[in-house]
Amino acid sequence: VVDPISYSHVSVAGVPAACARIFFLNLNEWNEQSAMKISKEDVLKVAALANLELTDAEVDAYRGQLDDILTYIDKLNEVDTSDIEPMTQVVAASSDDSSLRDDVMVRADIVTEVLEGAPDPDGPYFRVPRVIEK
Amino acid sequence: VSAATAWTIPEVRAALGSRKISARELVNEFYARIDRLNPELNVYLALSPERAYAQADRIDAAIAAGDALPSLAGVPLAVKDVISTHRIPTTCGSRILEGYKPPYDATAVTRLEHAGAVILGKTNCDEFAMGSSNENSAYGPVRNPVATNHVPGGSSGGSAAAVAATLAVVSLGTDTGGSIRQPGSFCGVPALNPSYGRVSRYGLIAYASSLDRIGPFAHTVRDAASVMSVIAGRDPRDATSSSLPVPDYAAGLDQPLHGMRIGIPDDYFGEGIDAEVRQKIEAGIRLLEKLGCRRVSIRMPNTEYAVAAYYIIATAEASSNLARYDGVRYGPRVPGATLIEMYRKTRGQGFGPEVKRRIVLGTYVLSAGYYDAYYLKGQKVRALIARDFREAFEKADFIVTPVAPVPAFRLGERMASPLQMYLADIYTVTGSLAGVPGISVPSGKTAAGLPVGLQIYGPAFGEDRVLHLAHAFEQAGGADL
Repeated sequence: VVDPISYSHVSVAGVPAACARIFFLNLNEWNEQSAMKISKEDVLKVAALANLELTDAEVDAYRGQLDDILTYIDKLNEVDTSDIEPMTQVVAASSDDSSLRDDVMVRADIVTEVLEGAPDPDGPYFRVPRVIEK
Repeated sequence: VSAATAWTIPEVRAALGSRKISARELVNEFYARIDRLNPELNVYLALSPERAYAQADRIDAAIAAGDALPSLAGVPLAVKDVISTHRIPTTCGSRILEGYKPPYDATAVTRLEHAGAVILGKTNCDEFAMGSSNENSAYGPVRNPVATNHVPGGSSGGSAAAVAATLAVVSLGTDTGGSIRQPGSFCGVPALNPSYGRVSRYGLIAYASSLDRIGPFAHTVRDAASVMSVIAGRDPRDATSSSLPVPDYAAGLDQPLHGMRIGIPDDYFGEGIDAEVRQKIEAGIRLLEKLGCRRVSIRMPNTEYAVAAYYIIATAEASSNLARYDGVRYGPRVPGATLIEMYRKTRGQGFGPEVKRRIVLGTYVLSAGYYDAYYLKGQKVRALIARDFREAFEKADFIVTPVAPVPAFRLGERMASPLQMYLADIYTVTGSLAGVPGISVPSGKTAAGLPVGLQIYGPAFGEDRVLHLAHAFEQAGGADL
């Protein structure tokens, strides 16, 4: 059994190490030593959630690549964030910036132009395949 | 590609004012050059001659009437293809928006045109601004004008190359994790990523909304400053835009420099950085010292987690933002028997490999059971990186780093491993996460003639000072180190 966390040969502290991986990390070697974090089924499930049709070749390629990326992302577990509030956005620079404008409807008069760009316009509507079965 | 004599904004102004050239003739000159060079460089995806000549004629009429000219009168401008332009094709470098013509202009575009700028066309970029080499464009990569078998950087590669090849006087790019600064470094032109909230994002087609910013490329720091004065400022259409007053950035450039402490993060120059890049950045730091800057040592202890946090947050936001491309309202549709099947086929065939990879990753990190472990963790680490910057700016007025650990690489050289491509964003994603402004300013060239960019970070809304120091660096010969 391979311990999936034992990447000591690549997990070195400091920025230079982060950069060093650009040049020195052999990802194939890394893969052989690690348990896969993400299966083919995971990729298919997520692709379905995102409404993406993927080819078999894409599923295979993404599985390996996402595994590399997720394994790398695991280094965040080294950071103690127990007392840290998540940063959801960059804080506004002055006090009145957080105020939102009044929610007032304004005519845009762009219906014709918008519909011209649609793949299947029908009068003032976008036409789509049947959603509700009889 | 040999650069023609580069027009700067003051030169355009002087030539128009003295009637050496008309705005229309200037547009002709640029389009002739684009006709000649674009087939090789692939910088422009669409040209907008109708709009450009109409604007040029307005400027020429104003000159003939003796009217006062706005600050960017007649200045030829290129706009990255992720920024909306009314009735000018805007594809984001993607097949899924092929043929899309926005029904409105981005605020930055409106403001630039109002200031007299002439929009020549739309520049190539990595699809939906996702990439570091411009090789993810569905319309083929841009070639670096400095060395045409090399990438121009990404994602705003077309906007950087447009200026570097003198196919525009100034251009707009966008930066989410380094997409202005890194191509600025690779193509050897000044490139500013302003503070988050300084420039309205209205009309910028979203990649990662908490990170996306619009900023300029130019031949000189002064020109970049002139563009900033026009595009910065509160916009009621972007609730995250700041109402802090906008200084006249160009006017402040010639003030004397004093009391400038430059923070150099410990450990930023170790293993992993290209030896020549390191040498040029160290020479750049010495030049800053000659200009009177005092070097202070700072610590940015969470930097090594920045790439991981960035790729969680950016892909999560992207997976949400890109949900709107579904074959209903714009772009081509791939038919399907059911609505869901139509969505899946349209998206599967409309998006390229890097975009799909990021949507899958972003959807994964947001999915049930993983949200806390990835997305929430990423946001907490983001808070720590922002804290690193705040603490560093207590000891230093600026933070100076490389822009990228390498100079421009060859086309195709780094496409095999997405992770390795991501890791090279280390010096730029930190500032993206923190929301602070950063400029890439040319700091010499490698022996092979490839430009190296020095990055100057300032505190949030300190772009006036960042531009000031970058200008002094440029005037002192930074590009020729």
